[in-house]
Amino acid sequence: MSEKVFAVYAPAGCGGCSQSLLSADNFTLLLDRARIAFWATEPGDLTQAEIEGLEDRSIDVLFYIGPVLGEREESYAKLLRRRANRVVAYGACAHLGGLCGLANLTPGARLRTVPSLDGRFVQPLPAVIDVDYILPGCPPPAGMIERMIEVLFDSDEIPEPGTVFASSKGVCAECNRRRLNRPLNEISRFHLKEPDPDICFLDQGIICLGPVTRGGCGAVCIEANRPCTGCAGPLAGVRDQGGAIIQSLASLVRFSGEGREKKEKELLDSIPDPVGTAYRFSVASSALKGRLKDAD
Amino acid sequence: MSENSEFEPKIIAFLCKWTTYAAADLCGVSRMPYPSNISIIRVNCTGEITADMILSAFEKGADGILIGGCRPGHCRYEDGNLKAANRVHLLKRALAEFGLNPARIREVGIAGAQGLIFQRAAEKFTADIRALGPSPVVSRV
Repeated sequence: MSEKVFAVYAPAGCGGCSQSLLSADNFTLLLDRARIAFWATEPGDLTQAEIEGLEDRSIDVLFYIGPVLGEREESYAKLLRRRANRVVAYGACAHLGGLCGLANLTPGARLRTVPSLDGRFVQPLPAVIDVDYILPGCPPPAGMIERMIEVLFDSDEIPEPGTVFASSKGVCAECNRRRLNRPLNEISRFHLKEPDPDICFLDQGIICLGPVTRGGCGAVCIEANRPCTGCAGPLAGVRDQGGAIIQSLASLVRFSGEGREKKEKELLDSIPDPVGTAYRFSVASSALKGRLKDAD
Repeated sequence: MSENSEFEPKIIAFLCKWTTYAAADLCGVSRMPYPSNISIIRVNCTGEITADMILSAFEKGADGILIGGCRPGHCRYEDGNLKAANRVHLLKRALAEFGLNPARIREVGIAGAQGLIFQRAAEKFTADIRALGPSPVVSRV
């Protein structure tokens, strides 16, 4: 097998994804067999002339890390797409817009004060170019990175375009907590009350995005007694992750007897920050994508 | 946007087949016209309507969503309409944070025999959406 060439382009984001790639067990071994074309972690690390100097399809695998911010990154992403055989959207920001996508909820005028954004929306990579593979997670868990490296560099099979290197089942399938099927009658938060480590978070009134989130992470956060925040994005076939959890939460709320409707509405109103909770990682890839300007 | 007289809103109506859909049907057979801006999608129960359906409708260009079911306590499936009301309630909170006017979604409860009430509700909602102007989602997608 000839030497493979890969590149890492991470113009935005927090740097956690680059570190996760470095700390994967089989990544250092990969360096014996593959060549790094470039590893850009700052917007200025790679100039347009440098990208244009690369031959078309000269990179076997490009790992794109971080969201697409502004016009310049959009054009760079398109240039890089032509130079790479396969592009991996690496991490929640590239996949969904990630936490950076929450900026989209800020009214446009205020966004213009962020120079790299230039008043435009944060976009996930699949909204800008064709992406071959997706590695979800914030950051992607080591097990998923190792499997991806194995598939992309050590096997002859070429995975179907659109492959997501995670499980096709939800986080709930990997969670070992007991489900009591209690209706949602109170809203609690994990920093206010120590959650019972053996019982489903939703039974305890703590909002957990496990039911609508793609698994593959081994439910590590839940094992650490922290509810799922949905970094791996929606389950296959679900268009809008936040809408899906809003719907399931509203269906779980159930009181009986007199004044049922009023109590239910009050409970729904007591859910803190519905968009920040339901769409924490997926504002930029949601159906509405960000702040809208509507008539009052 | 109300000065834009050319604007014809697109309204998607999800109607429960037992009540509001029957009322719309009654409108038809009684020759009581209601605005053609409304495209009806018949559902078995409003409890069947998902957040995804509402969001997809907005994404594909709907200016308003009409949800027609039965009045509380009258659901054929016990509490489907209450579930729908809860979902829409929470979804409206989220939509408001996105900057979409929650008045673009309206819930009505109309019995199967009340064709006239459906006609009026349809006219009123269409007029209200026309006054709100085109959905801001469409201009961007």
